[in-house]
Amino acid sequence: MPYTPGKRLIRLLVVCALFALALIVVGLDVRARRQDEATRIGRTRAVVGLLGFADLALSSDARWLRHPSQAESGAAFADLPGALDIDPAGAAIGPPLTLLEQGGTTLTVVHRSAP
Amino acid sequence: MSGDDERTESPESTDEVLGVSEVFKRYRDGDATVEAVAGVTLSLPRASLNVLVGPSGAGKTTLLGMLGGLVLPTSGDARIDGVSVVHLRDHHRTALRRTKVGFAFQDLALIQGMTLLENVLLPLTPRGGARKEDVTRAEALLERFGLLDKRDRRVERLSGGERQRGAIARTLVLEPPILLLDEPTAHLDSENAAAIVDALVELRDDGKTVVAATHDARLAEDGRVDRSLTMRDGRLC
Amino acid sequence: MRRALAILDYALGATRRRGGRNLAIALGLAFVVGLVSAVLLLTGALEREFALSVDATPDLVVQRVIAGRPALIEVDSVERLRGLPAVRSVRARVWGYLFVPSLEANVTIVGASPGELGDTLTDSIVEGRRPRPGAERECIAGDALARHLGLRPGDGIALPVHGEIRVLDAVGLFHAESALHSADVLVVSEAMARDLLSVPEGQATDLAIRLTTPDEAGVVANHAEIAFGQVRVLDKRLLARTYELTFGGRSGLSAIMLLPALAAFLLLAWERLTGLGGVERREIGVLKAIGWSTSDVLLARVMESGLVALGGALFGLLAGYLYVFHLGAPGLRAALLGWSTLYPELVLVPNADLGQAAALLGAVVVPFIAVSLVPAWRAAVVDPDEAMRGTT
Ligand SMILES: Nc1ncnc2c1ncn2[C@@H]1O[C@H](COP(=O)(O)OP(=O)(O)O)[C@@H](O)[C@H]1O
Ligand SMILES: [Mg+2]
Repeated sequence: MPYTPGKRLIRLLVVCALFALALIVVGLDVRARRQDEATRIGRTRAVVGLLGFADLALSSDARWLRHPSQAESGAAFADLPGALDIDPAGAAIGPPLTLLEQGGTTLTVVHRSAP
Repeated sequence: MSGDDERTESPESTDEVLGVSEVFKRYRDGDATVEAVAGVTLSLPRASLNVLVGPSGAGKTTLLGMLGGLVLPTSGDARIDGVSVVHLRDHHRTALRRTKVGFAFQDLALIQGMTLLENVLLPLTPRGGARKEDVTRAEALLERFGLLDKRDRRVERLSGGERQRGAIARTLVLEPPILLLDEPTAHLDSENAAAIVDALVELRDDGKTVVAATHDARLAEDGRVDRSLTMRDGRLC
Repeated sequence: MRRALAILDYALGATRRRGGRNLAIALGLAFVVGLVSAVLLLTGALEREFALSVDATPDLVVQRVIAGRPALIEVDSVERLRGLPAVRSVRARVWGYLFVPSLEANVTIVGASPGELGDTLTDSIVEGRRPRPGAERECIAGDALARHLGLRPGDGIALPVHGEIRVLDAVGLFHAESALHSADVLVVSEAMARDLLSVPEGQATDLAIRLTTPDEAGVVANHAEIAFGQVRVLDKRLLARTYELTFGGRSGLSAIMLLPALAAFLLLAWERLTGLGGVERREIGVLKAIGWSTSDVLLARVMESGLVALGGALFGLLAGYLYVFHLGAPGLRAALLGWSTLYPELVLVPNADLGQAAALLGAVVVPFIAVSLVPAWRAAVVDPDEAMRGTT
């Protein structure tokens, strides 16, 4: 390859430009995601207001108990005495399904619309 | 030319370009101390071609390093153009070396992975890189050493002799008044070696002060050499 | 300037020459930075989502406690709180869980009075329409629930009530945008909720209280305790704090799980950077011999390791962003959101700003450069011939 002093610098510039472009794209993406946030948040607040939960629909490791606010304050196996129980009923693996099925409800969907 | 007598008669003459006085260099090698150079005094005038000869381990490389301000003496003084380098700060010493001294290492010190031309232009980098005229000059130098067609070849694909000549070409790119060469003919056949000697004579005639360290008697015995200094066990004899 | 550019040009060549090693380091760095930024981005987005809607939730929730467990509360007790000065509104809510084994999950049944449906919701909030007031059997299903069941607006849901099957009409589905709150919800009429959950008339699950001044929460809570005996009062701010802890704790746990990877990478980088190879020492010796100053050599080194670190870290940051916001953070999501069948399909909005990104980059790149500088500095300050000779 023939000697060209500026070649590598130009390549670096190109790479920098690509990175800058990527950052700009990310910036635009962030803006787009935040753009309709105001209306979205308004609608979400309406839903939250209706439901009136203080809790999120995130399961707290225990999938049979969504609401930390429903956790019993005297739960055993807190991490340490007096600790705030941040993950009530926390366990990575659920109880046997047969156990859960007792008292379970059968739910079936009646499809009416064309898929 | 037998200018030997005129040029050595007054070592402290104002014509001095390179000089060392009573320089010692000791290396610690485990518990033992190696005295690589043991009390050398030397004064070399402008536009002279000087050869340091001696067997391997005589201290030639070390002395050359001290002459060029590359190696600091353990004791004694070293001067470049009348400036004592011993007490200079590192960056001043580097600046002095960069403007005054071209140094070609014994170990074929071209950087692998770069092309020959890139290597030759490397000394220009801290000065802002090679301009067009620098490239032209570098190409002229390569031509002088018969390397122009190897310009864009990676260093590791060159023969030993080609690398040797490339290293000498690199020392010349900054056009220093002083040239220090360590074993410039070590990897060359006699034809190439003769070409190197011709080039060194030419440089001397251009007004440069040239010092070559070698164990190659051919170089030392060339009639055009101004001064032939024999070294043994760290001393001149 | 020309000097810096020329040295940069040299550093680029050097980066290329040691391409394999530099690439390995850059990729390792990208991996670690990508994981760390993914955890931070996801946590940040969740916290943002929570923070933006938290003020719509009731300030206080009063639960009655019997035998140490949450129990039903009298609807009449609403009146005993309504008169308090700081209280704006009190609502007796009927809601609860219905465990559906086929889903392996709880569906959260929420009873809504016709007034509530009319007051708070418009049709734009649901896909389909909202239940007509008085239409006992119309309901709205949450996004995750609908996805799991394959529900479309207008489909029916058959559920057993007191032994006989009732069919509800899912006239509307909540959009995914509110999924963080509504994913597993089935909003039905209050009467239907009582039927489904077996909550007797005159009783409610709990009381949701809104205050005019949230600072009065303590006073109202005290009052409720005096009025009803054993109660549990949940302060919104306390719950917000709990979520912060949960997210923080989980992202912390995820970060801890990254530690082995981080340690392995640091070891590799340290070994690579500090054990300056013979070739590199030699190169430094050569550069010094041909007139480069120590600062020239170090500048080249800073540039080389800076390019590698910055390139790798930036790449990791971008990859982390893509992974979280475009791929939905598979894997990491479960660690942060909890393990569930009815996952909310979240619309995540990035919370981090440029400053935080820069801080993360700086925290990675600066020490990286510093570490790589040490051996180069050691090699560059000795006599060049020694730097060369040390290896030959
Ligand atoms: N950095 C060093 N550390 C230890 N010993 C050294 C070092 N440099 C040179 N020497 C020793 O000093 C002596 C002279 O070396 P040198 O100047 O390279 O001789 P020459 O170039 O004549 O072969 C040798 O014995 C060598 O081993
Ligand atoms: Mg030698």
